Amino acid sequence: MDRLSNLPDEIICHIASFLSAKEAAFTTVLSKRYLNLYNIIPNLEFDGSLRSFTDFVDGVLALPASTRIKRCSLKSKGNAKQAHYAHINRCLCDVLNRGVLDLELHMFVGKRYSLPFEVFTCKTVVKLKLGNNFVINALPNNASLPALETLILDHLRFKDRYGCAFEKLLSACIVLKELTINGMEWECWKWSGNVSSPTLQRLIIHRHGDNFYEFAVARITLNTPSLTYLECLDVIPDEYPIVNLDSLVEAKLNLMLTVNHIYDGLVDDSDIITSNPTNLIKGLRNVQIMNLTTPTFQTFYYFNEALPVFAKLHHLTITPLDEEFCWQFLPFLIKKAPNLETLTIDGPLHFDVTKPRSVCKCLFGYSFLFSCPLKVLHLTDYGGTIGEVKHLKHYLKKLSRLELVKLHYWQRAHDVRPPSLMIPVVPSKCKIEVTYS
Amino acid sequence: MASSSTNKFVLKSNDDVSFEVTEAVAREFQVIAHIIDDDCAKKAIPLSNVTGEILSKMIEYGKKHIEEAPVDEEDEEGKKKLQIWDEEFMKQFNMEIVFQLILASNYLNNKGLLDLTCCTVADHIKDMTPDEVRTLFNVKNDYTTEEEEEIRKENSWAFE
Repeated sequence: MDRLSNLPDEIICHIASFLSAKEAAFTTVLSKRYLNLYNIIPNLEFDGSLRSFTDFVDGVLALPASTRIKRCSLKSKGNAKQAHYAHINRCLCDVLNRGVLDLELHMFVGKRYSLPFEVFTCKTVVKLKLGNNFVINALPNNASLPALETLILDHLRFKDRYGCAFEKLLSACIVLKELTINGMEWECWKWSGNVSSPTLQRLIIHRHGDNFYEFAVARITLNTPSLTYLECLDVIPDEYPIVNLDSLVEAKLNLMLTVNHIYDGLVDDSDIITSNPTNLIKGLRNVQIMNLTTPTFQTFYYFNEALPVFAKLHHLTITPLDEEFCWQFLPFLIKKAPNLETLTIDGPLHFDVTKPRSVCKCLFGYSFLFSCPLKVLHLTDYGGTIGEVKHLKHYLKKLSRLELVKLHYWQRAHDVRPPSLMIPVVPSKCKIEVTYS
Repeated sequence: MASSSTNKFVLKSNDDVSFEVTEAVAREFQVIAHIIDDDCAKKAIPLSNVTGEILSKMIEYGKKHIEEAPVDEEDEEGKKKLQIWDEEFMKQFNMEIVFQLILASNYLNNKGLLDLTCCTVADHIKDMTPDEVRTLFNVKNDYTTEEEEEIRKENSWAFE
């Protein structure tokens, strides 16, 4: 007997109303009958003026209960007012009951808005993006997001008077793989400082704006043993008490230092640094690919004693802001990277443009390159100036195992055609590649 | 007039098994509540689509939900207790019985039990391949290979 198909249509639809969009899609291949029994909406999107939002929500609520929604995105450029909050939450709750896999809320709501608890107990959602500009101040006790793999928090704050809502959220996500925190402002959060997830593979933290923040004494724990990718553009707290990055493969770091608990751009030698990245730097020891920006140059220089031996590091990318800024960190780092194969300089070389032939004392005459096993040197912004040629010669002379030099020239607006670039002579066993764009 | 806790009714299955229940339990089933309201419930109420085996389980469910009903909307603990009982209750049945319970709770109109039984089927379908679902529920595949391929292609996101 065909048990499932013996049921009347309305009951099969009722069963479907307990399925995620993915499972419902599965049932469409069972037999012809299931194909048109219920609807699966692949992408339900609101992106317009909030004036029409109520009509949109009414339309969603009027869908048959068996209608499944695969992806839902609620966006608006306008500022949502208090009158909209109930509509937003009614819509979210309805969609969460429709087996949604991918849910995005990107509305500019005020501080008084709070998400419905149903967001934190959804069994089906795989990807969740939440924003913008509101506070998460409580999570239900039964918070559980058992399918959630990707969580994107956009300009949100966590403030929980009875515990740490952020920590609760992470522990509710038992299969979380990727966490992105855009517009990180941990100094305004009320939280435990604990970023802990045994399953997390990718962590991306981006702070926006970079001036005059005042920070309370703060400690951040990174207990993420499965993390393979870390992208961190953030101000360094007073301490990282625990750092577990044992599986780390790739790190992109823009780590900024505070002086007297204030972040005000780059640091001077006379400043009293209040950030302490020691444990974070030590925790990077397994990294294979690393990308460092100018603030991190300083961080690695002032805390060079914390640099571990980067035995697995084979590709280092540095992105200097300009020619002037010192590379004091580089000799220290190169000495700790015994297996480095590729160095990408994603910006200008370091020298005084008024005295292009002289080598800055921070580079010790490039002597640290003698011991470096580098095979590939890649300059992404090569202009072929006298200074660049002179300094490139140092690399060619001192890097005895160099096999390939890649120079990329990007055409400036005022160039009529690519100039014939000045390029130093390279040793015979080394290849040179020049590209233009 | 007797209160609904003392007023008794007799429900009679299609294989002639009778169950005496309180009015409150009887009213758990919308269809029976209508019969009572229409004053047609003088003698035993015959239920032509339900066997004794299924009816006894439905009465067990109805009784429990009357006795252990949460105090109010806020009674999280009460709801949780009942939910755990529901889960245990469903574990004793094979799929054949679950399907009979679905049909019976649909016929007698008990939304709670209909949701519970449908949800049980949905939970079974989760994490199964279409072939496994077809086997478990004896669904006959009437697609040609080409047609099935086409449907799978349209929903390829779900089959990744």
